[in-house]
Amino acid sequence: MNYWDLRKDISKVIPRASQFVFDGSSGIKGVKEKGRKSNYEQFNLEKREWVKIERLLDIDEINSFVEVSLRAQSCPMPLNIDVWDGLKCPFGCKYCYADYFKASLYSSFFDNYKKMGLRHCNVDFVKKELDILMKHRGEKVEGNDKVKNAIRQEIPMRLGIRFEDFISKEKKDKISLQLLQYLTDISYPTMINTKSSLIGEDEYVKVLSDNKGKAAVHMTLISSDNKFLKKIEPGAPSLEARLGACKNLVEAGVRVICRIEPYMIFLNDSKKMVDDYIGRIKEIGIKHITWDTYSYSANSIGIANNFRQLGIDWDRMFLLTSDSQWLGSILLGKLMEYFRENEIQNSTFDFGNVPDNDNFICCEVGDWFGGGFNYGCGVSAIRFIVSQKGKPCTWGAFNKWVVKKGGWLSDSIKDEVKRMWNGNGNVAWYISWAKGIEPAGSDTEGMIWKFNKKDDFRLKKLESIL
Amino acid sequence: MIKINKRVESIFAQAVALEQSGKEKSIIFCKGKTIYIKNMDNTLLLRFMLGKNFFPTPFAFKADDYDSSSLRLDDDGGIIFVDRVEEYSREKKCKIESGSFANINKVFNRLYDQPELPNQIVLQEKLLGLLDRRLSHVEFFLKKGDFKIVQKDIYSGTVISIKKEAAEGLIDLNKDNLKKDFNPIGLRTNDFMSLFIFSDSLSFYFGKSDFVFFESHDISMCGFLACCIYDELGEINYIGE
Repeated sequence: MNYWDLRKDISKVIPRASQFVFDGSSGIKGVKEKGRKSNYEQFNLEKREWVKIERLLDIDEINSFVEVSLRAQSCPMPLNIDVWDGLKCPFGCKYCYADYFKASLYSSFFDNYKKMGLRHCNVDFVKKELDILMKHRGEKVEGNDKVKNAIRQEIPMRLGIRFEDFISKEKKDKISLQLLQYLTDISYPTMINTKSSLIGEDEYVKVLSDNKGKAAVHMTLISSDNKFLKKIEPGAPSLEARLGACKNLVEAGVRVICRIEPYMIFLNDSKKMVDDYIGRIKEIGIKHITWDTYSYSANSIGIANNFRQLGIDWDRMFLLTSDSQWLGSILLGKLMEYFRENEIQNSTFDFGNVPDNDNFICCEVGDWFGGGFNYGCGVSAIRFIVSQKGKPCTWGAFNKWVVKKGGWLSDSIKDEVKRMWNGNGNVAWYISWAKGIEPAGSDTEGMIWKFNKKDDFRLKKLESIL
Repeated sequence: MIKINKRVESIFAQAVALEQSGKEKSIIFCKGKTIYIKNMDNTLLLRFMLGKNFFPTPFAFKADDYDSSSLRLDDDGGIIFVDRVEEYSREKKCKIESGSFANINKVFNRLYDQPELPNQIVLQEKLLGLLDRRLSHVEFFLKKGDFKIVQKDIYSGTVISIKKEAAEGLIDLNKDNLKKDFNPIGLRTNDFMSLFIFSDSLSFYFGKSDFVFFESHDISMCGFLACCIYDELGEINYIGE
């Protein structure tokens, strides 16, 4: 069954919502910001006076700029660097949970969030801190300092995970550019996630292509339909602007990967849309795509109402591609197959499809960067089991392999990955979600797994439900 | 002061129960002998006809605000619920909800005046025990005269199928009038189940792809449920736009 047949069949499983219209309106309102009490005072008994109680956010500068992601237990490239930040991203993408959560976090915990515009890191400070960290580059992994261990292994630094780093203000302030120049000067592998066309301007292209440690860009482009993009990413650059930037980068020898995240059934996956998309990216020489389904943790009323206000059926998309992990996974896998048939290399962070990834690293850069990756994670565990071609794999064998490849970022990450390996902890990250991974026994460390290419538990469920 | 009777009180209380059971947040619209209850998602519209003209002035309030059987409209546009315990009296003032009775009435009548729906099926509250309330939708169809209710479990990959049978009074065959096969239509499980808070047994009329009509056997309560559609589109289908 190909994607298009499956899409048709799946439309019979969860239907599209209908609503009555009263007063010419659907009646869906945005979620009101709860905010904080203002001018809160507490009487200090010692001083015998009222004291204003405030928690203030540094609205001018980001102080913590480098981190290993909380998803490092699953992700092979978890070293993030934050350059720009703000209460709301100017691109205003309706599906963006990072933006929604951040706004919610700042408005819940800080009293001065209303004064917050856009802020950025202090480049001089960051460079000094990075100078200290970079002394560890190439050392053997030791201890539990995750950031140091990531740099020891030369795991690529990623910009743009929590906020867009190439907003229009960057054009004037050049904060990201200075940091990119720093990374180029020391030939440190650099990875960018963006939707901005600024990255295609000469000075950015140059700094990235000059990086001897190599640079790659994930250009988020979830559709080639400008009308749809304008609706769902109202502040982001047009399709043409983004493709133009990609073209400049490709021509300069920077690896460009289109990012389709989120893949949303019935919204950005019509055959016409997909064929047009493939044609356009191939035309400018893009050969790689990284994918994911909608994040399960993004199921919030605020984001759902963003969709509903646009007349989009959030529930149908979310139920099919996120709430049901196996179903979303098989849908995504079939669509990736279609792209593969059209000579595009695809990889995904979706565990179900990781065995089929065209690249060892789900960001489609495993063959690009020369440094290390976070091999001690769920995605790598699945790929390790697959690489054993049906031979049983113990935790001990995987652990030995991780150590050989550079080591664990920390003991706590190792413990978490071991829990995932053994089907404990967060169910969303179980190794057994991957197609073809089946039990082959157990030992003192827990489960023994093997890969059976012909086995796919998702297909069995699918046959049953259809 | 409007003093409502047991029947009206029970309608309001059931609307509150609907909300408190987590099924539907809803708004109550009143005028003359008519009460409408509309859920916030605009997928469910109920009408109750009363024997007496209780509400000379139209007004609307959130079901969750309902507080007592004595109420009055405030001059500045609020609604006040009054409660008395011996010599003490308590007033709870709430905001009147936007949206006009006239508009709700117009939408209801437009749906009501459409040609009669060909298939009538009686379903009873005991059916709910066979449904899985965790699943988002319930599917209904009539194929070669066989009426079926189906729930597809996208989590376990299983399918629940409920057949129409005469036994045990699950479906009252005597009142069923199934004339014309119809393709699967989906109802939100919550919407469907919530109707049985108001009545143990309801007649459903299928046939339109956009909505299902239902009524209680004493015909004092009836309404419409928006149907979900099994097609390949991603936009919300607006009925009556």
